[in-house]
Amino acid sequence: MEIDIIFKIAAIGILTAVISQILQHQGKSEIATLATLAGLVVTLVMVLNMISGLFDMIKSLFNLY
Amino acid sequence: MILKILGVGICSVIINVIIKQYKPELAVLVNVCGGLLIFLIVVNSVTGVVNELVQMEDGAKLQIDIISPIMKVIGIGYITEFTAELAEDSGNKAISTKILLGGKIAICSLAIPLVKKLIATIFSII
Repeated sequence: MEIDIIFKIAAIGILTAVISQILQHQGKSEIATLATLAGLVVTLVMVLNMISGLFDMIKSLFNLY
Repeated sequence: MILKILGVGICSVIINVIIKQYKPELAVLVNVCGGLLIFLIVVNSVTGVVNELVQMEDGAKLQIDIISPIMKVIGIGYITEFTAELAEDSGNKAISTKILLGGKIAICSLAIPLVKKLIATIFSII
């Protein structure tokens, strides 16, 4: 759970950028937008899990109930 | 420990800049993850400090209702600061000030009983 999360997000971002470029050149631009959305959703889900973990940790740490 | 924080910070800044060219919306998420990782590194020493405070409070038989609001205020302060800076970083300053306003109000509502107790003790001394 250390630094690899950031590299994972970077990889997803670059991958979706490349895929959407390829799809656009093939003429399927609507699939390209879908691919970009999919990449965004995957990253968002991952980050949201981490954020909820952070908030739970702070809640338990400072017993903020 | 500090070197780890510096490493994570530099990596997330560089990756944020790289990603900003391809996917600006993902750059914000890289910022979020960078801040989170740094907090995960720091959290062990924070738990140490919190435990020390709680033990100190038990020993001195201070009223529990003085220490726990202070801890709550620290927690609320940290979370609102984390989100407000994030909002400001990604460019929307208005939302960040609103978040700060919310945090201030939450802290005020927590601090009211303490102020009341302080005034009561002062009057009892006079």
